[in-house]
Amino acid sequence: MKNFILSCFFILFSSSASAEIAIIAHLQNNQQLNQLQIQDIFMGRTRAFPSGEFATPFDQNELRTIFYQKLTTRPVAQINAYWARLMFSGQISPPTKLADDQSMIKMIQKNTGAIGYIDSKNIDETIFRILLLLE
Amino acid sequence: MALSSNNDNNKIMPLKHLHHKLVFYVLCSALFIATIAISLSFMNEFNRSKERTVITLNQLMDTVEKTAAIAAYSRDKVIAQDVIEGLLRNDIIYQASISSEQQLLASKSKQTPSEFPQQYTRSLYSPFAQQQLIGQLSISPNKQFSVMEARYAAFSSAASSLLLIFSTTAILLILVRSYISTPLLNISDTVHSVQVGEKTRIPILSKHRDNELGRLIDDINDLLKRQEIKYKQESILRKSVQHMEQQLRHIFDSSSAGLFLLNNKGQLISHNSTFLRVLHCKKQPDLTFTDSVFANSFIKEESEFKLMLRNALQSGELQAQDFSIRHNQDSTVWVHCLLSKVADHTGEERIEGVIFDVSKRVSNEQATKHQAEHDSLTGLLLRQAIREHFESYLIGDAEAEVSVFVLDLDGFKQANDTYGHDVGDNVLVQTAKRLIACVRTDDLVCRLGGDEFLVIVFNNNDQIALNIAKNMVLNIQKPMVINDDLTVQVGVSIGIAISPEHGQDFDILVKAADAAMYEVKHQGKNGYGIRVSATQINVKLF
Repeated sequence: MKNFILSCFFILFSSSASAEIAIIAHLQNNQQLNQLQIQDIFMGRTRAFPSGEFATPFDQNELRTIFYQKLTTRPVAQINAYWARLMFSGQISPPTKLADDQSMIKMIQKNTGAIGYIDSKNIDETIFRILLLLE
Repeated sequence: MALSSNNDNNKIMPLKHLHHKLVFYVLCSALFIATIAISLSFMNEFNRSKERTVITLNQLMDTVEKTAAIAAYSRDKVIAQDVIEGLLRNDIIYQASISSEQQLLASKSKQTPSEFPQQYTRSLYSPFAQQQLIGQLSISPNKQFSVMEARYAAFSSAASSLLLIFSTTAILLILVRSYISTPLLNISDTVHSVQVGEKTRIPILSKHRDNELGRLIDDINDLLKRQEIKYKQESILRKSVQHMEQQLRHIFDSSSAGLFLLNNKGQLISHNSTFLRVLHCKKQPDLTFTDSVFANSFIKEESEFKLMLRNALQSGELQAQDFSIRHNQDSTVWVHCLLSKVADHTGEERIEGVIFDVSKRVSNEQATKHQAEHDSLTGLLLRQAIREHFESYLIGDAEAEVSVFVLDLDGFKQANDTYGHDVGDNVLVQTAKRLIACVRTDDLVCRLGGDEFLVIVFNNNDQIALNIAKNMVLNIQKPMVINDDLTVQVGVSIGIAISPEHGQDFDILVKAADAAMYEVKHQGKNGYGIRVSATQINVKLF
């Protein structure tokens, strides 16, 4: 029941907010990644791009719920629970959380190994590279 | 009698109690059935436990699948280790491991050695993308676990069965003993002490009045009652039979006739006491008689007796005959014997015999017969008797040569007239003795009457006959001493006829001899004559 209400809420929310999310990286990063590879990086399975370069994923508070819903098709609660388990073992920790799209863009510009996501309306391909668009 | 001997046997042999035997059989069969049931349940439990193990394993894997998938996805060895250790807490799991695509994340097994374990595996998929295979969870069950489970189940079912069996058996033992064995023993003891024909009865048990034991007691009492009545009747009957038997025995023993029984071989089986008396037999032990052949032991004419016995057996009719008896006394004992065939109760043929002492009658008869056949003066046979002998001889052998001599004394009439009848009789007696001396014992000498004699010599020929005649003439012409003072001399004329030359009929032969004798007298006396042809008689005078 709870899940049902939540999903209703998300559907309303996502339709009111613009639906597209862009996954972005540093301009120098020329990796080609599919959704699964991106998922592995965000969920902590790999810490490197396929080329071997170190990858640092970043979360942001504003879009986090929608992002994970689109990326993993799982509600964010499950993602939180997943991280809670992994954090307990102390091996890995979830991506660092940023405030919004602006701080995310700044972080991407500074860090060549960084990978993050923003609302697609803020896309500017001159300052970062778009890896994937999530509908 | 039979009853008491049975009971004696019971007393000698130790009693094998019914309830022990019964309970033993029940126990054995219950144990047997329980053994089969327990082994079946062991096998069943073993199989069930194996199935349950698989189910449990799957359930356990279901339980940890998500966490294991997360561990495999994030390649987190710590979480994987936690999962594995959690799994190994279960008795049922021997070994467990989690591996991600490239590497083994965690693996652990119990220290107890086990056979090569069967492995159950579960593929682990990414928690975020369902089609992405990211690793494998594999566990192996503890094989001993199913066996132990089954063994435990079998053991507990065996224990409960045994408890049930032994307690039931013990209750059964007590019940059978108190409800069946003990009352039966009591009945048996009472029956044992009952004497035939007594009024004793078995006491009725109030507890068992309406069941099988009650019926048994009723039946035994009924039987005892009938037995008592029958015993009384039989004792009355026995007494009357004894009385009758005594009377019959008395009749049998005191009978004036000798009664006896022979088997079909002529052996004496039994007899009364008169039998011994009639046979002039001293009292002898019966046994020596029993196997003796009756005829050989007692009867002089044994072959005739045997013939009579055979006739009696074959014809089945009453046979009667006189016999003389073998014994030590001088006078002959004659018995009249009756034989008839009877069958005894076994169906075997027997000869029943009766004997009377008829010595007096027989001796009277014989004396009369002798008197009729013999001349009272000389003791010689008379004419009628000699004819019978002659004829019976010729019947035996028609071709036998028989000589007939007719003799007439010469000078007897003068002597008789001169010296009187006594002297004449004396001369006749002496003549008879001399004639007897001239022939064999089997030959016959007979007085025809007056001074005429007839001699028959059997089985001879002409020559012997003439020799005998010559002997007779020579012997008789010798002087006869009457007393110290008187000596008389007579002569004899003999006519001879020989069968079959002169005929075979007695009268014809006597006539022929007579004619020859007259020819001798005619020619000069004291000699013998025989016809040699139809017209001529040869005569020889002395």
